Amino acid sequence: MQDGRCRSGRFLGICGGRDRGRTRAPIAAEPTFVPADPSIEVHIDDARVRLVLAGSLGTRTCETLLEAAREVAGTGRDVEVVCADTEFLGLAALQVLLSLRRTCGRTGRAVRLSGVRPAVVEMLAITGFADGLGLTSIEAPLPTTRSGT
Amino acid sequence: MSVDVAQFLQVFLEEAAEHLGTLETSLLELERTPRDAELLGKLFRAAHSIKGGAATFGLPAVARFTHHAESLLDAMREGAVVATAETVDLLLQATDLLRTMLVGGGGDAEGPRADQLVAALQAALVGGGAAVPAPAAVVAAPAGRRIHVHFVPARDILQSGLDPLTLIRELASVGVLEDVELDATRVPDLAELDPCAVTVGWRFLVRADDGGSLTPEQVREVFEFASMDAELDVEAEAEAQDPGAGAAHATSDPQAPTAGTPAAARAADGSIRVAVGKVDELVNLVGELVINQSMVGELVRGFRIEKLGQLIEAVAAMERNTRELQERVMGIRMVPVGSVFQRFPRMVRDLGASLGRKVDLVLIGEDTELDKGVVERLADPLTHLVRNAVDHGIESPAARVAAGKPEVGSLRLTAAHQGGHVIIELRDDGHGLDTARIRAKALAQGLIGPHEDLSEAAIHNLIFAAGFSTAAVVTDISGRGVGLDVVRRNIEALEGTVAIESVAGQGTCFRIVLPLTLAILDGLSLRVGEQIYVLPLTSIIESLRVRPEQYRRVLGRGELIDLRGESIPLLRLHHVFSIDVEAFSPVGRLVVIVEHQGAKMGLLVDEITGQPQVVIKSLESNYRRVDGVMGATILGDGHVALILDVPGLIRTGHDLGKRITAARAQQGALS
Repeated sequence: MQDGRCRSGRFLGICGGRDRGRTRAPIAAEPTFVPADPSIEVHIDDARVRLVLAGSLGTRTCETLLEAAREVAGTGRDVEVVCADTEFLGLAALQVLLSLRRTCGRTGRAVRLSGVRPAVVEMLAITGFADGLGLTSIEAPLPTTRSGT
Repeated sequence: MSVDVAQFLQVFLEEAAEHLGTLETSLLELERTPRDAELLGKLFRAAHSIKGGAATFGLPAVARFTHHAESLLDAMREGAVVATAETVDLLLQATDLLRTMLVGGGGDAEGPRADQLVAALQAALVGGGAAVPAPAAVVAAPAGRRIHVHFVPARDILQSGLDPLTLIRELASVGVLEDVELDATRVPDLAELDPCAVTVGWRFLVRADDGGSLTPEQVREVFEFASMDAELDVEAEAEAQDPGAGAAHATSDPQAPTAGTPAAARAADGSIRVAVGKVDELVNLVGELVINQSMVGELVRGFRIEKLGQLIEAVAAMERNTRELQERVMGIRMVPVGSVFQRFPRMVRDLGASLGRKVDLVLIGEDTELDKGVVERLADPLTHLVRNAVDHGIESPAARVAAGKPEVGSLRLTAAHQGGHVIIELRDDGHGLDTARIRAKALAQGLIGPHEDLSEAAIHNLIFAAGFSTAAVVTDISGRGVGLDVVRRNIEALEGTVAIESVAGQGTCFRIVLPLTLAILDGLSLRVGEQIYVLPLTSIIESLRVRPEQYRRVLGRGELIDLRGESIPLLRLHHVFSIDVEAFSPVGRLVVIVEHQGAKMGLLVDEITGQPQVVIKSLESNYRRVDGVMGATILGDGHVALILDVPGLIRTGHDLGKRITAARAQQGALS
């Protein structure tokens, strides 16, 4: 990621670095949910470190998400997880995000979820993950903030 | 299946008391480390456990009140509210009220105090910016029957294509989720995470939709496809619990507690929670004992002299098992001394704040076990000593700084096993005792004579003397309404001793030595005349036959024996217990030397008959208190023997010796 080139994850493109493009590849979504274009992007610039999630993120994407989470955790900075285009977060994805928050928390860094859609918030609330992920307010869905597309 | 939860209420109350203790001590720690995530998690779990238990056991007022405290703790855990001295204080007050509510049977949450605290807790929550709006599916107002669900999915459930979150969504569609608790404590760090392995679990409290119904079976159906290799517990609460209705509402279960049922009365019954393993050991031992008994019975019934060896062997085995059984049963009564220690951090904090003292209390050895009876009766004297240490032992911050000490005083309360005893020490680094003032006061009160040459330690011990007024030494030693003599009496009532060490300017240490148990005692059996007495082994230094050169009579001090240069008063037990004997000289007779708090005495007896382990029976509860006697016991041969009270005998001995000597002197009978 440090050489200025994008690399691909197993299913999804993961891009890092300033103004770097991303690649996206569709995968099969969770059987009980409407398939959506899942994507996982890492954006690191001078101002912030963002993990941008979109679509339905379930078991099949969790390894890629884990890889991305390790990358953002490795920056040593606070992390914003942008969920404006996230339609579903499965248990595997939530475990990754919880673990990311815990790992960063141990070194005093914050992981903040932003732009979470009401439907996802409700899901997080009834499953108890809202607390675990530090969702302190239901923010209005934000416009897509992905860059480098 | 209906479960009578009332039978477990006592257990819940005991557990709740432990959780309250955890809350209190952890809140005090939180003041020092307000961002300690582990501590915040511990606090949250304690509050959550109380809330859950209270709801289950029909204490809705407790559950509702705890919910507010829990919400604040949750916000603190998530970092939305930062723990400050004010929030900690508020939560401590909430803990106090919860304790009062639980002691009172779970009611009384509707009083103005509770309302004030709830308002303050809510204000702290909002003020801290924490706001997790309850989504539509999670509502706060409960009604109807509630069902507790505990669900831990199989670790590999995701590989089967089933996401547990979909099951929870389905659960929320069949009923209303009132409470959700996610247990994510086992989720590892990123470096070790396998996201496809499930490491979380849940507890839900779910009820039927308004006007609808919900059965445990319906809930189980939701998890039907996930139940393989999963942990799933589904339990319905008792009918119609309406927290909004307050404490005045009784549950449908006549056994369940109501506001008018004082839980304190239940708690006063006293109970001990025992590990299943310990009970299993007892069952095994009893089993072996039954086998032993059967063997002995068999041998006795068809006894022939050639079977004598087998009989002796069988009886010996029976003795071994009986003794082991006794030790293990006594072990069940052992509880950690921490249950007493737990109250002191809060007490020291509050007392320090009100007196302007800064005190750092360190507790060591809280796991040290003592007999339950001893632990319960240790609380009062120890509280007195701790209060005294903060009040009068440790100086004000300014005085400490002026004396070249750290501003914050140190108070260390330790417990440890030593031999067959437990040693409890309370050590402060305050200004120590003022020896000159104690001596002056003791002199003024006639406790010592003007020419009496006392060591510094002996002068310090005077503060334990009955009648040693605290009035004039308020600022230096005690100042409480109750003197340290009461502390000593309480400790002695536990068959313990208390001693003091103090160095001017450096601090004071109270050292309490307690027996592990009050129920059984290792003793030495003695014959005096025709009577048998038992002397506690722990008080005995040695026994000897008096040689002529060792024996002296001193006017004003009675009979003495010289033991390696030390003059020890002699007490004839015949006189103490009015046993008629012809006058005799102690020379050549048997004397047992006993000691209590540095004071030694020789007890003149006729014979040492054995070293039995005896079960102590209270004399006071069946007869009355007798000076010099701590209880009675039944010996192996069926005879009753009195157990001697050494501290009492030493006090009696001093008086008796003086009286006898004086009387003889008057009669010119000394020879």
